Amino acid sequence: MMRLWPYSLFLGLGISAGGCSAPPAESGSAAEVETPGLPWFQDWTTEKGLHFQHDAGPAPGQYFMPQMIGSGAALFDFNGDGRLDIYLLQNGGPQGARNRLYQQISDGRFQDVSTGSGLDIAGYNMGVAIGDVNNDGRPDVVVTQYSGVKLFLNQGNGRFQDVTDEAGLHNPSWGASAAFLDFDRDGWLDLVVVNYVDYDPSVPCTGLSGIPDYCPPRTFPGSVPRLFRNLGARRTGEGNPPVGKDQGVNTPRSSAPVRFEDVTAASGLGRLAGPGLGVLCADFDGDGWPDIFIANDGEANRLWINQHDGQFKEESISRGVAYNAMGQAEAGMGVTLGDVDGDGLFDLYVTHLTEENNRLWKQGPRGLFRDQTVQAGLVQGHGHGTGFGTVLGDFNRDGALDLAIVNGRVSKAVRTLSSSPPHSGGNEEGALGPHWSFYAERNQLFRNDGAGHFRDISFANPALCARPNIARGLAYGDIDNDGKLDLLVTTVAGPARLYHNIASPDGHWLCIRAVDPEHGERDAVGAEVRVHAGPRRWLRWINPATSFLCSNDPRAHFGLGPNVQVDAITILWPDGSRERFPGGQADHQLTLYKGKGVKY
Amino acid sequence: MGRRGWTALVFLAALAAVASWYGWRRYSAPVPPEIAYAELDPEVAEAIETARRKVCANPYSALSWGDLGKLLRAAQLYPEAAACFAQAERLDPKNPRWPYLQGEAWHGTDKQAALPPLQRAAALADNVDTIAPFLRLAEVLLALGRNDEAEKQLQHALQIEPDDPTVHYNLGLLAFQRDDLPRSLAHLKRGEHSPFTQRKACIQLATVYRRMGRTQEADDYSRKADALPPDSNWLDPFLSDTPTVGRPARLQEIYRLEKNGDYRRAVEQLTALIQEKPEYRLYVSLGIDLYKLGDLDRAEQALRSALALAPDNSVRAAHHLGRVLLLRADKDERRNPQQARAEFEEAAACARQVLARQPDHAMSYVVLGLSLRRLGKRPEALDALRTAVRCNPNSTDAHFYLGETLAEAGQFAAARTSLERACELSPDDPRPRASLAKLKTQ
Repeated sequence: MMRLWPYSLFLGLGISAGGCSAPPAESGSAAEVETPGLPWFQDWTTEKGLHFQHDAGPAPGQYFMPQMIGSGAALFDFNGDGRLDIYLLQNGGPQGARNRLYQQISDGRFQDVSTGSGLDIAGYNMGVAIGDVNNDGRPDVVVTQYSGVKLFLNQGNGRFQDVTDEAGLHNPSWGASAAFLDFDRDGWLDLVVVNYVDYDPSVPCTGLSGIPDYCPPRTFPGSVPRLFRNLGARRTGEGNPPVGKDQGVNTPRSSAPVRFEDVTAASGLGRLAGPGLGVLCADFDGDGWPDIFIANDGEANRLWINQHDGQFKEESISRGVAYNAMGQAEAGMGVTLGDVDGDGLFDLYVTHLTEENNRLWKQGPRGLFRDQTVQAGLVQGHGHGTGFGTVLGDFNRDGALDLAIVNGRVSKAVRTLSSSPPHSGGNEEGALGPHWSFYAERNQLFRNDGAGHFRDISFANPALCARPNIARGLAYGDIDNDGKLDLLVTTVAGPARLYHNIASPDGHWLCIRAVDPEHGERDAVGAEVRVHAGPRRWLRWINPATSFLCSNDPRAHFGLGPNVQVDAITILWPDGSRERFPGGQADHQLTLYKGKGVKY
Repeated sequence: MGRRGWTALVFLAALAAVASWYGWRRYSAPVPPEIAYAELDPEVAEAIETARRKVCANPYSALSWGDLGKLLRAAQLYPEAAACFAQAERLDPKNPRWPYLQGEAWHGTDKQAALPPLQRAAALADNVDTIAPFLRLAEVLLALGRNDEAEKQLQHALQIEPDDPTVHYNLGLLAFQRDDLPRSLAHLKRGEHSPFTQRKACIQLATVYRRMGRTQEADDYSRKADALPPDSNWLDPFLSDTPTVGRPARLQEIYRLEKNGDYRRAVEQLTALIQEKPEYRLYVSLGIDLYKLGDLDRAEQALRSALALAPDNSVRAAHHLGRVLLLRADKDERRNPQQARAEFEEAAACARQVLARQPDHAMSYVVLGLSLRRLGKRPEALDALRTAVRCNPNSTDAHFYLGETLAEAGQFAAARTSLERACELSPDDPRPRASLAKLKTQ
């Protein structure tokens, strides 16, 4: 044994030198995911005859920054036939494809009526806002562009006239989202245009690894937003009378002139530049006057509180909506609002980058907001993306606002382990091509449990959420007037898609149009509409300008759950007056006229 | 078989076992992640490949894996970096550095994935004289809404560094989440003056005061927050040796220096980069930084070099050169009026060059207007300045210079309007106020 001793020692040492313990396997938890149920949406695009391919402009290898941002869309009834029509923007530049206008015809399909409409313009078209600027009862169209803004006056008969210059609208900056609001409560819709950055195309950008990519916004100085006050008939001093309802919306255009005054500097909005992308106008402090929230990309958001005298005061920091709960600025893009927890106060939702979380700020007390993203179950685990367009809507009509987000990256997905891009399989992803597929992500859908807590139901909605895309705009509207909110998605370098709401089982509903007869029977933009049924209250706004670069159905849609009867409807009109209207049966559309209710 | 035979047999078996074991170790050695170098910065690619080769030569060296991980992290290749740190952790399981760096690599992109390694790092960090593992873990826990666990980590950090402003800031956030506003205030005020937390502390203080109904203090802190530069990142000893490799990383560092107003160091680094490889944008940045430092001669030189390299669609170099010439001409005018005149002419030419490409470039109209004014061409100057205002009605400079030029032209009412608008736009800018005051005496 003594002779074996050195060999066995050697053997023992050799054996003991090998092996190592591995650390425990990583475990992470994804956001709360509901087990798949029946889908809420089906792809309606082909069936409805919508054929639109987005032109993203210059050759992708140039990494021209504007092509990564646009474009949006509008759902609006341009001809007053009670059916929503569609306007889709192109981003191909002056020699590129033209914007398209689609009219919904009687069989529910969409017909391309762009030619001769006046809206079929080319350019680097970003966003669209819809509003009746001359109170003739016909919705007019504003298009923001990379350098420029355009106003088209609805003349009836499917024609729009470019009145930008005579209206005095001038915005040489890179326009993004825009919104109409009546900030001085004079009955004429004013316009706010949010501007992005002062881009220099000669500056190349890369990540820290040297991989060329689109420039992040911090590379360039931000721009100031522009506020344009509608001078209305006051300018001529002739007191052009508003168009009365007997004239109808298909009569030739009235001669009411349109004129705006740039009040950016006087209002105070010119004091703070920033990389603005999203905008939302609503009464944030509960004083009955509309305020302006601007989502900035990578910098503090801005909340301009209306001082009632034509001026605004910036209060985003103290009201809690400038930064997230950790005091950090995030990449603000899309914005939407809604009362997610039924406490009678609207909450604010803003979309951000894949590496960040989208943000839910709950309001409470009135006028103050707190980041409650985590508490609402919206901390994003796997499968989230860079959010753009977003909608808070009661898709299944159970009385609680659900959440839809469309995604698409702005920088290349990190990949080096293989030479193939993240989404290169399958016909759809392959159709995006080798450049764009690095930016494609999946959309998301969340169901509200009724108490402001959300569960991810994306897996149960493959039509909307399974296909990776570079989505930007998300517009909502009840396209077939069945009381359910449908969705329209725009994508970079891809098709626009229409989604039909087929949620079931679902609850009862009400769809309310609030109009102002004193101002051409236009939609009462800025009105707050409350529906009362027993102890329940639901709150909505007449506010088509939410989401990202889009304009939505201006009607207020309510899911009522099991309530078949509504006790009352109250409206806070944009001029601060309040009226009560009688209740009635659920499951139909209503048009409520200012002055026809009971003041209270 | 005799005794010798058995001994030899045992020896051979042992040798075979050891050889097999070494063979297994060698061929099953962990392999570093494959990197596609095609689009990477060449310097970055070379550094990564060198580190990668080191790992292949020493696959059981935690340090080699760690070095590769740090390079990948610096190049923003976070999943690959995290994989390398995970391997380093397997090889050196008692060292908190590896799980910490793993978690930190995920921290910016996926907080759920960052949590387990940071928890391991904190568990191993008892004997480490730094609060970093507890603080980083606390930040992730706070972001995930796991407030009680975050508090434990922050209290632990406080025992090590009782006065650390970042710990107090996070405790302030925690108290705010719990609606304990007085406690939140107390902690946040501990971070009010530190360069690592002053801005975010002021932001949060504004929010807290607003909730307490103390609107004036809320407004004061909001204004203060808006005026402060970005906070510096807290000093993380685990990241102190992060390599800066490749031009993109160095450019990022220059950008950071410029943002913090450290133009002197930015100029040093830009000069070094230009010497390695001249680039248009580097010359423009150098010119602008030198202009800000008041070194107009060198600024002019840099911007002329930029112009020589300028792509067709660029306006930055020409615009900034115009500004430099304008400023220098203003200084030269008394000493050498002829020279100054030539500089004013050239400044105007630069502005026209920009406007030919970008007809709505408001600041170039300002440069043009000021140049023409000094050349005695007042009507044209007023036209240019009015156009500047039209292009950008929110430019303080445009309104201010228009106001001054109108005042010179005797158009006092219009001058007053412009100067008042400039005051509205920038209440803290003393120039329009001083000009208005002077106007009132005329």
